[in-house]
Amino acid sequence: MKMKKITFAAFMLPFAAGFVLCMAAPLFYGLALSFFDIFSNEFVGLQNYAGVIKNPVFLRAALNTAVLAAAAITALVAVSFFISCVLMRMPGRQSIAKIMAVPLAVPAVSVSYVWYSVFHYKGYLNGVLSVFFGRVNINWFSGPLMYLPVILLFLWKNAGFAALIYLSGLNAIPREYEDVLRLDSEKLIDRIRLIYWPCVFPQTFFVIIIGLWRVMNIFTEIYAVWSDYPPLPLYLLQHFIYHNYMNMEYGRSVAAAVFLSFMVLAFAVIFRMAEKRYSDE
Amino acid sequence: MTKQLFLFAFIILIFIFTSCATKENKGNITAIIGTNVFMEKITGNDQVIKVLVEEPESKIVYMIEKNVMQISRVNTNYSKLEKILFETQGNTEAAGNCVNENIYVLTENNSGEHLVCIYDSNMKYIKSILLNDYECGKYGYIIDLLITKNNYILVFNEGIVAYSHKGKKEGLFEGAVYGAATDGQNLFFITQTSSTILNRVDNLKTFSLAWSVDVNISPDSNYIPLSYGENKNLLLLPINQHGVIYAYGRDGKYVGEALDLYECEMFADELIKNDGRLWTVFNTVYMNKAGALEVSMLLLYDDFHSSHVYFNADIYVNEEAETAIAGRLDGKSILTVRGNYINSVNWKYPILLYEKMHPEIKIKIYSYESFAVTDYTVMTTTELMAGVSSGWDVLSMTGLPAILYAEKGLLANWYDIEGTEPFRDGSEYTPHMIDISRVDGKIYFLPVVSFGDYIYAHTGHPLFGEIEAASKTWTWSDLAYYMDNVGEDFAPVEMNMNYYGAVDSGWFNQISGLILYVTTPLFYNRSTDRAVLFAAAEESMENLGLFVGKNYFDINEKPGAFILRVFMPDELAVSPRINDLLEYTPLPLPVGSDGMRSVTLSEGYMIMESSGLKKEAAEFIRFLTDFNKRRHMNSTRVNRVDDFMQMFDEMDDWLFENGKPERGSLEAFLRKHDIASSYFNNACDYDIAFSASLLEAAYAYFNGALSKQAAIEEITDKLWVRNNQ
Repeated sequence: MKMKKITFAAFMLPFAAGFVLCMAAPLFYGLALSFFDIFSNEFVGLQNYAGVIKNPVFLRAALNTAVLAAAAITALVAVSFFISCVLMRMPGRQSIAKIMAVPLAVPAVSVSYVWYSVFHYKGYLNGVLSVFFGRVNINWFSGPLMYLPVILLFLWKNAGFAALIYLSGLNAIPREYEDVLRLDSEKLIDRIRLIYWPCVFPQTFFVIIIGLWRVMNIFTEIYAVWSDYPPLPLYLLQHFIYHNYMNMEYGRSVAAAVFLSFMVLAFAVIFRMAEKRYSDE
Repeated sequence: MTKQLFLFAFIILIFIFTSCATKENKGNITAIIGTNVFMEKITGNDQVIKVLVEEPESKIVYMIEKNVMQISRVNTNYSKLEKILFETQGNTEAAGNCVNENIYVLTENNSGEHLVCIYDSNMKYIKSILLNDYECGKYGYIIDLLITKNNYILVFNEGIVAYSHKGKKEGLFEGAVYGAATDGQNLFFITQTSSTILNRVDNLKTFSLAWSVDVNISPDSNYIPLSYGENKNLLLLPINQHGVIYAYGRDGKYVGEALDLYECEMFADELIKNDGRLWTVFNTVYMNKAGALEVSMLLLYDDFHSSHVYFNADIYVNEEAETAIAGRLDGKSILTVRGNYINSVNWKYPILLYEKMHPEIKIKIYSYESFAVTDYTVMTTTELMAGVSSGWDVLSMTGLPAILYAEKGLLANWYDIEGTEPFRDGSEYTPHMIDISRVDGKIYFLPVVSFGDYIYAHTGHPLFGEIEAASKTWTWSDLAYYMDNVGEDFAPVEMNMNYYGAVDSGWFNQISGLILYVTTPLFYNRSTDRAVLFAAAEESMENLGLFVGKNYFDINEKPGAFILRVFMPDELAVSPRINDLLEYTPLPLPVGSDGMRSVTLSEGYMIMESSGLKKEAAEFIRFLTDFNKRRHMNSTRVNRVDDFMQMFDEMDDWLFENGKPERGSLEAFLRKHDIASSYFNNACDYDIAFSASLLEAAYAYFNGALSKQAAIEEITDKLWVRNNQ
């Protein structure tokens, strides 16, 4: 038994060392720095955290991040589930879904450039609309419509991959379920409501987690389009972190990052609990 | 009849007399004052620029003919030179190499004939030879005059003509010529066909080639300096070849090559052999259209085989090159300089010179010119936060948030280093330059260049007088008042202010680093246009500066006023629309709620608090700025208008797309910038990134893509974020 433990430890050691040195240590070192003034090396305790919590811009950024995450993830779940439902009986569906997942590999900045040229008020979209409706000068990057290009970009990038996940879940549903349901109803909506949707709930949870992760990365695209200061509704926690970093307020920057991590963790826990409860039922 | 004969004879006598007189190009050299390397332009026909080099044992004068950049060497007694006057009656075209200590000068007399005049080493005239067959322009422009035992050789860029010492044309070569040299008997020259060929001609009458060799050099210029060295080798210095000097033997055999310790780049103009050493003349400023050739220094090589640079004649170090290299780092303090645009000639030569003057100091450069300003800023900020900047002494601040660094205690205070005000001569700086570098009463950086923003108001406007008077103390509200009172007085004009396209043109880019963008005309006769600007202004925007960019849309109307960001007003003078600009007067920006006006810091220098060489760093920065001051008419200098006007008088019209402006109006226009800038006595740095983000809302509004209310809200939101984050 003892030998077994030693062997286990020997095999685990390389990974553990790598994890501690490359991941845990920098993480905790960064965390520790948030309790100090990095220029004077003075211990400031929770001052940075208190400063961040009281900061109205941080609170607004947190709210914006939550709203955007909720909107984008909802849209992602809906769209990707819809796509997978459409594809599930189609020949060559796996290949189509794989092709749809390709945008995930496209660098964010290059996509942003295309998006910029499409949605700018002098861009292609307004140009096309102008052909049909006369001079159209809609500002997609400001005002209430500004979420649209962001969420469309998010969907374009992630919906294919999410659909692929859903497709794997849908294809695993036994045919018998549908045959039994057909005895009562032939409606597609009933099949979706009573069979497809409940059966792919584990996939939905996974898509939500993936979506959450992807939303946290959408800062790059937003930054590429709006630069340092986007319109207020798109000012995310990442902007706050970045600006404080560039203002050499490292402690506040880390404090905000810690809050962001907790926020993501909280979301994940809530969804996990929801999934568990639903599965039990 | 007798009377007519007398008249005829008289005319003949006059003709003979004038002919003789014009053949005599007597002349000497004017007084040359100074020691070390010195440059002076002779007034009068402006044809010769002289360089006096003081060597340890003798003083030598080099004459530089401005059109051909040909240099001749005159061994002389310095004390005699002061009393000698050099004059020519026509145009001097080239100065030839020394033969038997004599100087040969190719000139053109008033009759258009060309002569070779011979002077002794004291520039005393000996005789002149008329070159009967020389047709100016037939073989391009002249690049050299060479003297051999039997011939005068005129080297053009498209041919070579050899004359006997009696002036009879003897030989001709037609074709592209890139450089030529002689050993006193034979001719060596470089031609270019599919590759670069070095040729030798022994018989100039027949011009038959003794040998030709491919020297495997691709010239980036139409001139390759070629010299016949004391060690009997031919030395080639291809321009833009990073200071590589190639050596070939008299038989055309490749001997070797030597790298300059420091890149010669495109500044090397000439090789001169002298006393077994090799001289390279470096022009730090090219000959401009006004004919000003600034020769800042001479580089001195020893003999070819140990060809390392000894910098500048006045600090010539007569030591073995290898020893010099080996000793460079031994026992020296290393002053580290870091920046993103510090690998230019502005830095290189002052550093070389400084190191020679301070043998105990070695300057080490870390240049990040391949980085964009924003990337460089992020990297530097990160490194400073990470505490890995302990080795840095001097930081060049182009684009860096100097004030932020100062606030974080990363920069040294100049008062602590020197105990005095760093601005030794305050008159050299515009007031805002001094003001902006002060943080809590201390000076943390030495600014060199900043951008000033001016409101250009049209002098023809009915309210102009009132506006000009009010501008000295006006606030943004005052400006708003005037804007509201502007009528429709300005009709569309034929003025292309579309800089968006123009910025792409290389020429415009060259001369107009000064113009970042033109704003929407504040006095535009559309009250709605102004609302966005002033909604922002009222929200303390004024201290950050909201300048609506011109880039995205055209202005087809003559504005009552506009805001222009200006780097160097004197360069503004050669912009294509200068005649239109003369109708405007630059006025200072309004004062913000805290009494400040915004400017943009650009180039400048900081000393790190962590540096162990603060005093040395301060001394080096002073040296650097002093060195470059005379080469740059930058915004630190209030007397630049005088300098510019001097050049303006000699500028060609082609520089001005719409014709050359009237001199008096131009001078008055430029001087007004100094007046306007004198009101920037309380300046703050301008946040370009933030301002640019505000512009997006303004652009959208001006393009009708956003309502006025929405634009104002967006700008207000961004202000709130910036001020509270």
